[in-house]
Amino acid sequence: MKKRRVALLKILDGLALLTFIASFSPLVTPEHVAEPFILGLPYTLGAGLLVSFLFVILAYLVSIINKEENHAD
Amino acid sequence: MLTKFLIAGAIYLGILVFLVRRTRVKEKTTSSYLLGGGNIGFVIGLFTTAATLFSAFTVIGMPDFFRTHGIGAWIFLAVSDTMMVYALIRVGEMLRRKARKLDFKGMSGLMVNTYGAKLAGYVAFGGAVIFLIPYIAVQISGISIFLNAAFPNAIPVWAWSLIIVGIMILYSETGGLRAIMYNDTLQGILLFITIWIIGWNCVSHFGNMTSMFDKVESISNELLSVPGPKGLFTTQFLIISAIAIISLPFTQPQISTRVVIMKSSSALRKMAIGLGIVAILIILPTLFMGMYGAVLYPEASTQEFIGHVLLYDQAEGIAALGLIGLIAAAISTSDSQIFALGSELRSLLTLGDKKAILITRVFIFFFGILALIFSILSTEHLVLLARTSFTGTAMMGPMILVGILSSRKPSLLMPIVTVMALITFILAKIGIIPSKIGVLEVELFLFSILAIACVLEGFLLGKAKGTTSKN
Repeated sequence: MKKRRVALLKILDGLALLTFIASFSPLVTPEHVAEPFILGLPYTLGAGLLVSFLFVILAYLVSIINKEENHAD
Repeated sequence: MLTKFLIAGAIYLGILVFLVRRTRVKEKTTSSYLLGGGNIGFVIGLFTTAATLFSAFTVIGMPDFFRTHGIGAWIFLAVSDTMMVYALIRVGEMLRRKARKLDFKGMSGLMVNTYGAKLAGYVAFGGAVIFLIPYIAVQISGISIFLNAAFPNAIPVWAWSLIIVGIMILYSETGGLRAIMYNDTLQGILLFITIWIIGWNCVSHFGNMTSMFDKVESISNELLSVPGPKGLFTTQFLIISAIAIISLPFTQPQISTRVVIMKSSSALRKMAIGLGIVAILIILPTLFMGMYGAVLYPEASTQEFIGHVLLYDQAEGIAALGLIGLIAAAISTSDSQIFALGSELRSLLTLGDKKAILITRVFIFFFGILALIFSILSTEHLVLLARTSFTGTAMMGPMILVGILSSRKPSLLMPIVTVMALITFILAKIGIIPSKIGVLEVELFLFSILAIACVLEGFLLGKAKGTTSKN
């Protein structure tokens, strides 16, 4: 069970790291590019909003996995 | 408008007084006075952390940042804040575990205990004082200058600063951290409501968001992409900002204390997730305000623009609420920072609790006065100074993380490298050494050196572990 939890956490950390790198790459922040508009938002803003939600979701998933762990209480 | 502001101000002060009376600590000990009893639930934890994090720099600075530098400001703050939430949930639990084990009073004291050397604690405390006092000061001065502009015939700028610092010191001294946290909750709710009403009004001016961005595009296409019209949001700038903001829960004592004193790990997890959602919801309306300003007031000064968007373009009642929200935003961050500096000092004192608390209270007053003096003298730009504060304290991040994560006593490598990094950063900021080393901004260069030092320390710790197990 513990092995599975550690593996899942590693996967989430990997995803977080990839999203971090993508946030500062042309995938999310291309220079001087405003199009295409995503739901009426300029590209970088739309992509940035998605990244923000993605990090909250990743944090939520970590919190679910960590629930089982012995904590500081 | 003055009458409505005075009525709203009186109600606000009345609620503050009520909360201070409710939370007043008669027997002041480290646990009850400095750590708020160490039993903070999810809701109070969420609002106090949010109010501490989102200061005047969010209400005044961010709309102006969006107006001047465009939508890259979202990556600068909102994306970095949600990254911070991930870091908080990943490392927060380990910090709490270490804090429980080592009788946490403040991060500086925790560093003394984990490193087994006073140097580590002095570095953490010195870094916090050097980078927090100017940030507190610039918030107070920003709000005071703005209030003076709103009511030019009332009182001078320094008198507004004095009133703000006076309120902060009074309720911090009386009620301690619990009073601050309850007031933060009031201020956080007030800030949230105000900023959304004003943000919504800004979008309504254009009809909808699509029309708003169409209009912005017709004025300056550069505002809709990075690096923005003035080229500020370069990849390096955004990465440095992200690292600085991600480190906040461990490097800014007012936030790390809140992480430690949460009632339970479950409350901490809920607070962290809530904080991510609140960050998105607080920064979004500042984007609307900024885009509104980019169309209507592209050439105005910061003060003129904020004056219009918060006051003159709003109904009088909303404007009065806006002003109170602004004061609340500044106070809720500054009081927590001043108080946290006091707690950090306490964590370094090895005297009896009663005497240590007395000294701490004297120093909270002293830090408040210091911030007041700096606020009267300061002229720096709010957002960029806030970023300097975050980046400066982030230099301590690797040292603190090594202290929290290692199960053994680390060597003095990290404290020594951190001192050198802090000195280099300060020298670069005041222009004595270049702000670029090769192609790298000095901050990124220093973060790289600190990362190498972390790897070295890890190697040393691993070697020590190997030697012990062989023996």
